[in-house]
Order: sequence, then structure tokens, then C-alpha cells
Amino acid sequence: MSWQKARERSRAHRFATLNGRATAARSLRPGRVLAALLLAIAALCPFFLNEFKVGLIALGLTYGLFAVGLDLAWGRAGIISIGHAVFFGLGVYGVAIAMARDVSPLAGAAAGIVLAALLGVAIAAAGLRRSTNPSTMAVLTLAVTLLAEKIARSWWSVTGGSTGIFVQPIASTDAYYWFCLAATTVVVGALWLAVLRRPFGNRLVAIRLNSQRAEHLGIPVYRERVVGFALSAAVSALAGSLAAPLMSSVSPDRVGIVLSTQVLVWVAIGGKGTILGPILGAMAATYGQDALATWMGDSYLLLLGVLFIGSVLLVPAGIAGQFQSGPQLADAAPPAPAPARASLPRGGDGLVCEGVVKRFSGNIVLDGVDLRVPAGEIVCLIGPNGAGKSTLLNILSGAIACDAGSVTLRGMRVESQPPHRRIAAGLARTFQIPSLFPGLSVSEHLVLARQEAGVRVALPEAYARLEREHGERRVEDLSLSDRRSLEIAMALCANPAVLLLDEPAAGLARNEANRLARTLRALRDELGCAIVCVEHDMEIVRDLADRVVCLHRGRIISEGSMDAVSADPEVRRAYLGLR
Amino acid sequence: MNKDGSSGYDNSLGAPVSRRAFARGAGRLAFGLAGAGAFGGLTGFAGGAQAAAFKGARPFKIGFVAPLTGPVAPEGIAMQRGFELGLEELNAAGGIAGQPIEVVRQDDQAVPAVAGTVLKKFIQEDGVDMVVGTITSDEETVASQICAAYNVPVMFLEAGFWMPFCKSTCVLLGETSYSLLGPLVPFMAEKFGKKFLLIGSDFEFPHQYLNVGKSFIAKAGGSVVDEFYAPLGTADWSSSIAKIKSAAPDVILSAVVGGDAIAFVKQAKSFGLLPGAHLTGITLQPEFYPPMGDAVDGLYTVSRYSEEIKTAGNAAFIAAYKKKYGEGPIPLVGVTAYYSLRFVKAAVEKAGTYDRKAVFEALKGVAATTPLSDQPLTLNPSNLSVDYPMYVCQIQRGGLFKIVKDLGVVSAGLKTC
Repeated sequence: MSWQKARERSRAHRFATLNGRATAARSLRPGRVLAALLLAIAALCPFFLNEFKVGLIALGLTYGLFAVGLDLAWGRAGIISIGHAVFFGLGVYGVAIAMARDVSPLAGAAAGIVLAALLGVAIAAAGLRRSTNPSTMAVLTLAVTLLAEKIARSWWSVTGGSTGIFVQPIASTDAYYWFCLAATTVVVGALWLAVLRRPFGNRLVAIRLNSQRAEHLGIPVYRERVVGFALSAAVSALAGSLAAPLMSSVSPDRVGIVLSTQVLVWVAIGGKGTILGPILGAMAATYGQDALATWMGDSYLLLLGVLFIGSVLLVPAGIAGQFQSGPQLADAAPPAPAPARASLPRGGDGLVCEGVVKRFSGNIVLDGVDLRVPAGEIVCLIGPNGAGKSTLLNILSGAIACDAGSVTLRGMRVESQPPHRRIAAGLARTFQIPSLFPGLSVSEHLVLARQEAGVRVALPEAYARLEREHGERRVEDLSLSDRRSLEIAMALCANPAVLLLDEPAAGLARNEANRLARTLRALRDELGCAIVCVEHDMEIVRDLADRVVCLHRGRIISEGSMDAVSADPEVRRAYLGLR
Repeated sequence: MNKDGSSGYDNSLGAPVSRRAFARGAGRLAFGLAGAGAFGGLTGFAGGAQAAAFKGARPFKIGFVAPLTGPVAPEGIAMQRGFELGLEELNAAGGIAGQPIEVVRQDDQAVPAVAGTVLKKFIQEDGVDMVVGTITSDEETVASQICAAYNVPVMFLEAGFWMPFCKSTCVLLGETSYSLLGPLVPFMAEKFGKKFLLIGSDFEFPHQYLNVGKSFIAKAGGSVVDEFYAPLGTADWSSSIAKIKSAAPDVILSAVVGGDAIAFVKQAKSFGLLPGAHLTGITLQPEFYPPMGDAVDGLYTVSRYSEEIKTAGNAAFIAAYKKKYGEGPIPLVGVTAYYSLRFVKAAVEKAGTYDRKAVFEALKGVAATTPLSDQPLTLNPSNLSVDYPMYVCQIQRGGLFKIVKDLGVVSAGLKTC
């Protein structure tokens, strides 16, 4: 327990600087010290190991880079790939085929990497579409690796069939080892600095943790995942091209299912979502497999199996995952301060929808809804359960598409645009059940929101206090009202022109709900944004709404002031369930 | 990638290994002189072994590589058993030139890439004088290429086919597709009919074997009604068996190997293809008999070994083998592995040195007595393989390969340099 607390403290300490100005002295992180130490030891290996061992460690390094490549897709972006050896194999075969034909191996490596990236784009573009689920990628990548192995086995003239291609031993194992070490260090360092610790890396983490929320922060989820997967494929191919000269025989198993599953095991044992974990996992497996094979003959496969099962059961986060306690997000450079609010273009129609129709398997849920919300107006949507309020909100934000009708956001037709485009056009929303990133702290949420907003907006005091007082707390540890506040705070970071709120007062105590209503009105006054709010609590609606719209059976049956709507006999009938 | 990297891809094989080893040592020495004295004592390198003096210097070191796991494990284990028996006997009788034979062993799972790693380890780390082993042609190809690159002699024990012998450092102690199929195809065609169906595992050797088979079928006036291949590790043979049944060939020439051969034959029996069909080829190996059982009783094949061969050497070998490993059919590859070290011993003693090049040269034309015949057999210097006496055998209940026809010495048929 005290260990847990200490971890929490160190986490808090590390993240304390995250939202502040430029940090002073960076604390020495154990991970970095360890990495530097390992690198120093690795650099000296050729001086106390024989040629074979040096070659084996070099091969382990390239497998480590391959594991880092897979981790980019699996550990960071949360994309499952059961066939990553295809990409590795493209690099391996690229170099081997080039060498066998007296073409420069660099050309072979480049061809392999480009092909891998293109194949990665193709697979991800097909497997990560909106209509697919995580198993689509698993099945797709599995199919591709089986196909690739079959091709490598059958295309004798190019791949040498089942025998493969012989690669002449390298002239100096030591020199090549150092080259591999340098290349791996440079590539991993570049990935760390230029990808993982940049907004793009944060986006991948955000998408993995909660793609719905990521999308509604304005992240182009599909595009970023495709790019992430292609990058993962390219790194894997680069690792393969480095490995080829160490392999002596490049055979079809290097693109096949066995290596594909092995690399999954390395990443799982080493620690998903870490840098050192996959590298050490791959190196330990490569080196250990050879040592075990010598030491215990053919029963080493049995021992490997037991080790794997044991580690999955006992250390599910992987070895390196055990020691990871720091923030998951990078402190991306804070965006420039926003221009003064008054200078933002305001006024006119904030949000207009006309003739919106939505059917769910034949049942009509929205039946021609027209709604016009000018800038600066607060509209509350009321109606009995099943009236279509949340569906309308989802159509407005782009979470689902409408079957007919139009949605116009600040003069722009958006009904066929994905959520992130609408966010860019000035929309923001919250969900009935707060949609947040599990495991991230309040500060990390706001880092993401600010990063996507591209501007830095000072939060109203009510929300600034949340950040000040609970910045280091994980969202799981927040009260419901704080979670709702955090979601609104994230929405506000983008300085939205239209704010959609889905039951913001649900589950709040009376005094909290009243405070929320006051805060929202103050926000509207200050920001001039339009607010569309689905709410059941009539007291809040009365406090909040400039105009009340009542939905029933997918149609607007009444609108106007709270008094007028509540006096409407049709509304009363709807609420009482009368026809 | 920089200049360093392109030098890492150096394609030239010009420099012999010994010079590289020297360069490594020199580099290390320079480093030691540069001040890192702590490393000075660690710079010794075991790989310079080939320069050692001949008699009494040290044991002769052999790297033994075999697929002890994976799809062809039955053959790999059979090979290892014979090898260990031969090793014990030879070492008990004084080893090579008064020195024992020291063996390093490793499994390569029948994966060519693993075989490559194992061989590099044998050569670079253990500094072996020679390599013996491997089953599949894929392993053999990798082994022959690596051993050629490092100038290490390598001896293959399984049935082989044409390989670039002239450039490489390998010798072939197994029989060849020519010596197996040359007599087998006409025998089967005459006895059962001329419609052949070919089936094999999908790697290089079965393709080559069945291609050689096709040429002999054509020569015998026969025809091929169908031909198909399944990847190593295939467990379900029902569709292949259905195809065979509908093609109704006179003879099934099979190059399905390893654990696949066992699965194929067992399923052929449960689907009613066996007994009845005339199956032959390298699928019929003594080491598969116990699991295949009576499904193969009465089938014919061509082999160079039978427990019925009446030589003093064979009687002693059978007794020793059964004492060590129990009753049951004796695998052919086990026999080969058993006597392989006799060729090695003769060659090294003839060379008068452990020097790898000299040993390889001495292997050409070397002779040794085997359980197969009373006369010594010779490694043909022109193509580095052996012309064996061959027999048509019929499999008896219990797994005995009963000799039904003595074919005399059959040429290995390999191209000569």
C-alpha cells in the first residue's frame, strides 16, 4: 500500500511540471539511467564476447527494434496485429534479394521499407474503418502473414522457395554489431523524441484509451491510426533489413506466423507500451533461446512455454510494465495563448438542423427535426425517455450519421463530416456518462484537450480550480461531478462556438446542479457560445434555458419558454404517456 | 545507413576465416594497448583451432546438428541415436589418431534460419573441425553454404540430390534420388502397373525426388496421373486421400516425410486407401513403422539397408543398437549416422592434420567398412557420394525390411565436377 502511495507521489511529482512553464531541472528517471547503462554495456560487448555471441546480440537488437515497431501499433495505438512478421520479412527479403542480385543492400532495404509502409497503409485502411471491430485487424493481419509465407515458399525464382536465400556472412561481425547498436539507438531515440513524446504519440494513446472521446476532442482517429500502423510497419521492415545480414539464411518462416507470434510474446513479456520492455524482451528471448537450447537440449521449448504462461499470468503488464509509473502522455509544447475572446467571430446561426431523420432497424427515432440555435442561446432539449434526445445530440456531433436532413454548423454543412471535422468547426460535446481516458490524470486530459485545441485558453475559475486541486488525480478517483466538470473543461479548452451537453446534471446533488447551471450561464455570457443541453431536471432547465424544446417520438412537439412548454397540453400528455 | 553499414554488407568471401580471426585478435590487442588493460586477458579466441598440430594436441571436434523437434523430428532423433552409438564405439576404440572425438550438439527444428544460426555457433564459438548432420534439403542447403563460406567440411547423412558440390565442402553419405528411384520405378511398373500418382511434402527435396521419379517413369513407359504437394506440418490429409482414390493409380510414389508421413499413412488406412493401394517411396522408413503399424505391411520399396544383410558388422551393429535402444525396426538414417564417423576417422588420419581444408581433401576417395557390406565402401572422389549396394525390400509385420531382390551396386548418379 505504501508502495502504491510512493508510486502515486512520484507520478504526481513528475507530472507537476507538465502544465507549468518550461521545466527547470529534469529529474533523473530510473528508466533513462538504466537505458544509458545498458547502452554502455552493450557497446563494450565485442570486447568480452566471441564472434558468435556478438552476432547473436546484434540479431537480438534487430529483433528488439522489430518489437518496438510492433509496440507502436499494439502498445501505443492499441491496434492488434497477428502478422507483423510480414513487415519484418519485407525488410529481410528486400536486403537478401538485393544482395543475391548484386544490387546495393541499401536499395533493397529502402524498397522493403517502402513496401512495408504501403502494405501497412492498405491493411490499416481496410481493417480500421469505422464499421470494423478490433478482431478485423487480427483476422486481416493473420491472413496476410499466412499468404506472405505461402508466397515466399512458392515464388522460387525470387525468394528461393523453402530453402530461402543464403546471405554471405558479414566480413566483420564487430563492426556490424556496432552499426546495429547505433542504428537501433538512433531509430528508437528518434521515435521517442519525434513521435512518442510529441502530440502524435499522445493522440495514439488517447485513441487507444477511448477512441470516442479522442474523436470528440477533434482527433482524426482513422487517419492517425492508419499513419501509426504504417509507421509501425516501416520500423519493423527497417529492423528486418538490419537483421538480414546476420541471418545467413533468409527463409519463409521469417515472414510467417511463428515469428509473428514470437514478437507478440516478446512485447507481452517485456512490457507493452514501454521502450525498453520490447527490446529487452526480444534480446532475452533471442539470447536465452540459444543458451537454453545448448543447455537443456530439445526440452527448452517446453521451458519457454512455461515461462510465457507464467509471465502472462503473474506479470500481465510485462517486466518493464512493472516499473512504469510515470505519466503516459508527453508534455507537448503548450500551444500559443488564444487571441482575446472578443475578437473571435461570433453571432449568426451557431447550429442549424433541418429535416433530420434517423431510423434504427426500421424504427423511426427522429422524424424530421428542425432546430435552429443562434450563437449565444442556451437551448434545453427535454422529452420523455425514448424521445430521441440523445440520438439528436449524436447526430449533431457526428457520432452517428442521419438518414436524411442537414446539419449546418456556423454556416458549414457538416452532416456527412466525421466528428473531428465538426470539432474543428467549433463544436464540443460531453456525454451522458462522462467519456474520459481511463488511467490518465486530470492534467493529462487537459494536455490532450489543449493540444487538440491548438490554442491555450484560460479556463473559467470553476474549472481552473479542478485542475489546480486535482491535477494529479486519475479520473477513476474523481467524484461524478468532478468528472462532469472535467469533461466540460476539456470542451472549453477548444473555445467552442457550440457546446452540446448530454444530461450534465444527472447524478449531481441539488446544490451541485444549481452551481452547474450558474456556471454554464456565466460561460455563455463570457464566451458567447451556443449551448444545446439535454436535461431531465426541470429545475435546472428552468434556471438554464433561454428556450426549451420538447421532443416526443422523434418530433418537436413544443418549443418556447419553460412556462409555455410546461403549460402545453401536448407536452403534458407526452410526459404522462397519454396519446 | 552510413559507410559503416555498407561495409557490414560486404559480399566478398575472399578472406579466409583464419585471417579474419587474426584481424579480430589484432584489433583487440590494439584496444588492450590503448589502455583498457582489464580486457587484455579476455581477448583470446577459440576459433584458431584449425592450425593446431595433429597428434595428441586435442580432441577432434564435431558439430552435430539435427532436427530434434519440429516436423521431421522422427528422422532427426533416429539419426542422433545412430550417431551416438557410433561415437561411443569409436571413442572406446581409441578415437581419431589417439584423440577422442568431442561433439557439440544442437537442435535446429528443421528451420533453415535456425540451422544457419546453429552452424555459425559451431564454427564461430565452438571452433568445430567438421559438421555432421541435418535431415531436410533446406537445412542441407544452408549448411553447405555456411560451411563453404568458412571452409569447414560437412557430412550429410540423409538421402540427397544434386548440390553444388564442386564449390562446396560437403560430402553426401546418404543415397540419392537416382539410386533409389532408378531401380524402384521399373520394379513397381512391372509388378503393379504404369499409372503413377506423385505426392510429396512441399519443400525442395520432395520436388527434386519426384522430378527424378518422373524421368524414370517416362523411361519405364509409365504415366503420371496426378501430382501434388502439401506443406511440412500438414495434419489433415483427407482431401489428398480422396483425390488419390478418385485417380485410382497403380502406384503411389510418395515423398511425404517426417511426422507428416505418419499422419498421411494413418489417415490413408482409416479412409480405406491402405492396405490395398501400392504405396512406395521415401515415405516408407523403418523409423515410422511403429506409429504407422500394419498399414504398410506388405508394401515394397528400395533401400540400401535391411536387418537381413548378412555381414559380421551388421550383426554386431544390430545387437549393439537393440541393446542400447530396445527392440524395433532400425532406421536407415541411424545406420548411416552410426558408420559416418568411420569415414571421418579415416579421412583425418589420412590427412595427418585437423586442418579443415586438408580433411576435406582427404575425404575424397576415403574408404570405410560399414554394416552394409563386407567390402569397404568408398566416397567417390569425383562427386563426393557413395555408390551403395541396393535392395528391393518388402515390409514385414513388425517392421522388418525383407530383401526380395538384390539390385547390386547402384550408381549415385550425381553430376561430377
